[in-house]
This record gives sequence, C-alpha cells and structure tokens, in this order.
Amino acid sequence: MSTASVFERSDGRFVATELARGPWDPNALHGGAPAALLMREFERVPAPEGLSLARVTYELLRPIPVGPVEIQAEVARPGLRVQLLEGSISAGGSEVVRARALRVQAADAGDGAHADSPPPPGPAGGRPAKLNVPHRPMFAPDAIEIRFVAGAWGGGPSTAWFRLRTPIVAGETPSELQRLAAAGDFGNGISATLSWDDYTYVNPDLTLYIEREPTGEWICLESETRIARDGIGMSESILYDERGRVGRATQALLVAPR
Amino acid sequence: MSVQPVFEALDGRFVATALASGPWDPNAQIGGAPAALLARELERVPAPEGLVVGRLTYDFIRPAPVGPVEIRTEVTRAGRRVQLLETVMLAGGVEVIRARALRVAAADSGRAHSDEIAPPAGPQGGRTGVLPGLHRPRFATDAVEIRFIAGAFGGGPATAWFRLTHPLVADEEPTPLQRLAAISDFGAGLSGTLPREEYVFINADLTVYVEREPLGEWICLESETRIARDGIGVTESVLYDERGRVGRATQALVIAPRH
Repeated sequence: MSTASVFERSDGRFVATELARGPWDPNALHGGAPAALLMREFERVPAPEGLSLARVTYELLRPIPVGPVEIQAEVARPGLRVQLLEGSISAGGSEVVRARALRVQAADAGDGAHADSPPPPGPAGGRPAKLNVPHRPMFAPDAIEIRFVAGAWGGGPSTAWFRLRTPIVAGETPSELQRLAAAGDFGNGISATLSWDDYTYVNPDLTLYIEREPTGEWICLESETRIARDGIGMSESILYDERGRVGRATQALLVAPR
Repeated sequence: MSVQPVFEALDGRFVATALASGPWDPNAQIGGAPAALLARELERVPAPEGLVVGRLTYDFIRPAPVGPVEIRTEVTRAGRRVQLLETVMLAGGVEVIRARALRVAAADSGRAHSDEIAPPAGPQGGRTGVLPGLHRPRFATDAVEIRFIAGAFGGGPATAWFRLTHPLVADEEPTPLQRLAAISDFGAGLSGTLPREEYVFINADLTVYVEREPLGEWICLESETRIARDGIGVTESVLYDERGRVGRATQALVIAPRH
C-alpha cells in the first residue's frame, strides 16, 4: 500500500488530500472518502458484545472541500440489542455530512440462516476501468483500483470490483467496513445511463445495508441506475466480497442538465 | 372508507387507536402505522417547488405504545434542490421513533428516463391474506386489506398487495406517500422464515426509497428475507403500484431464539 493517504492527520483534525477528490469539482471530495472516514469514526464507538453494524445512512448535505475537516460520532440510543449512532463531518464550521448508523445483535437463527449468494466472477479476470478523469489525482483511480467484470463506466448496468490502493487515514490499514464504505458510493458512477457531458447525477445520500462484514480487500458492486419519468433517479448496488453477497448500497440522485 | 381512523388527533397530539396495533401485543403499534403518521407530518413541511420525497428512513428506537403520542419535526438542511427533514415520535416524553426524509428535485433528464418495470399480477386475482395474531382489532387485517399473489405469510419469499381501508387521521384521505409508508413495513412479516413461537424476529429500522409517488390505493410488496450465517437478517421489498415499480423498502432485523 502506498504511503500517500486519502486523509492526513493534523492537530487532532483530518485533512482531506487530493486523493479524496471526486469527478464533479476539483475542490470537492468523492462521497466514498468521507463515507469511509465516518465509518472509521463509527467503528471507534464501543459496542455491546455481539452487535454488528447493520446500516449506515449518509446525508451528503453539501460539497466537501479538499482540506481540513472535523468529525464526530456518538451514541444516540444505547441498547444491548440495538444501538443507534449519529455522526457528522464539518468543514469551515458548517456541517457537510450527517450520518446515522444502526448496530443490531448478530442473528442467532441456528439452522434458519441462509447460504451465501455467490459473487460475480472475481477481480483477477476483470478489465481495468477506462475512466473519465477530469483532474488528477482523484479518488478513482488514484486511491481506489477498479476492475470491470460486466458493463463499462457510465454504460448502464455494470459490475466492477474495487480495492483501496492507499490508506484512508495515513499509517492505518483500512478495516473491511471502511473498504465497503469507500466502494459503496460508486454505484451511480459505474451504472450511469446519462451522458457525463450533458447531465449531472450527483447523489445527496448513500444507504448501506450490511448483511455481514466483508473479508479481504476487494469489494464488488453490481449496480443499476433507474430514472423514473415522473420521479427521481436512483442507483442500487448489490455488494459482494470474494466469498459472496454482503449487502446493498442505494443512492438517490439529483439529475439535471448541465 | 369507514370512519374509525388509525390515529385520533387531539390538541396537536395524536392517540394511536387499537387499529394501529401489531398482531402480538394489543398495547404496541405495528411499524407501518407510525411510519405513515410520521410521513404525514413530514409532508406538512413546505417544500421548494419541484422537490419530491426520495427517501424515508425510520429507526424504531423503542416499542411505540397504543395511546397518546407526540411528534416533533424540523428542517435540518434547507435547500432549493435538496431538503433534509427530521422528525421524532415521543410517548410519555420518551423518544420511540426517529425518522428522516430526504426531498430532492425531481429528475430532469429529458426523454432519457428508464422504462417502467411492470408490476406483479394485480390484486383482483389475489388470495385474501390470513395473518397470525393474538387479538383484534389490529392494523392488519382490520385497517389494511391484504391479497397474496405468491407465497404466504411467514413462508419465505412472498408477493402481496396491500390497501389501507381506514383513514390514518379522521376525515382525511391518506396521501400516496402515507399509503406507501403504511405498507412498506410489512416485508419482514410477509417473507419471514422463522417460527414466531421459537424466535424473536423484529425490524429495528425501515428505509424506503421512493422512485416515484405511487398511484391508486393498492401497494404491492415483493419481499425476501435473508439471514446471514455470521451477520444479520435483512428484508428487502420491491414496491409497486398497479402501474409498475415505485421503490424499495429495506429492514434490518433483530433475530434471537425465545428460549
């Protein structure tokens, strides 16, 4: 793993580097970077034994600038079987991301548990992504590697594997959940149906449901974007690790002509 | 529609009637009833022109009792293209449900929209839903009519149409969003696979993504529950009206043996 990182630490704060940048604006972060950083903050909040993270909902309220950010997470509702956490990221004194995380007791269903759903073909045989790269460096492909196994960037329903190349926070190996959050925000990018040159389709939210914690470095998204004629755009991604299905990511989209 | 509402309005507060109750405890509301009432409160907050509700997320913090409840709602993030709303339901001064609604500008993609996904077979040919439970009246099937198209209650993957048969609040026609919220919480019960006598099986949350507002009274859930061997249970339901797909509901489950 490279020595560069998506966030650096400085005086108890985090500083987003250019490796955190998204495609829409050279000064604004990709949603996957703050999603992973908030995941890290949620993971640091102690949990009663036997609870696992079931859902994180991110509200991507405003563009997040490259540079210093402040982050906090706390227990909003303690409990032995269910714990609700709230977190936020601020930049320049204004809140830019708000998130809620739900931990629930791991299922104890005995023989009632289900077999793993098998994953798509693995990353080894995948094609490197041909990305629209409006500026460099950028979160994808500089901090995260992408390999397509079905479809292509921005060509409708697509399946791709993602792997962080750099730490989220300098000097730390990312946890599996941080890897999941970093990759989980790519559904609208890989499965876009509208021309990048003509439309914007930014996601103001991201919901991750996590059936089980992934293992290994690679996360796969099997993604589809739908735009309702008299409604909103929405991207849905089934999430896998190399063993099988681990959850689902969903994004509401703001679709508008440029 | 008969007169008896699911909630009685009283001096700015609401009283959950027996029609809001779940099947197992006559003193506890089923999730769909408060989900619909909170959707109603969220809808009453003015929105900039052109914004629609894209997502509702509910965290069911504690059992919501039948009886008086209060609701507090605020705009967390005001914007012309995105608006975030938060609301809480309290009972006896204690928070029982916390919810968020995300409003976004309706998609402006010219003619480049997706094809409608066709709905399952309609409610007319469905089988009347028979639900287990210990008391009457209750939300299902006394305030909600159910018609099964595939599967049966609690027997794994299932598809059923639902229709509110009582007003949520007296003398008001429920809105499409309220109907959707009332029905979306049925996925876990519909498609559960574990015997109720042996397992606690409850959803701690509910997320509803709304691709477009539903039309008409009937809402269909095509539901499946998956329980990871070394993880949690999750129920996913594709939501339809009689024209086609309108969204998706997801629920995280707490599953444990009763011993």
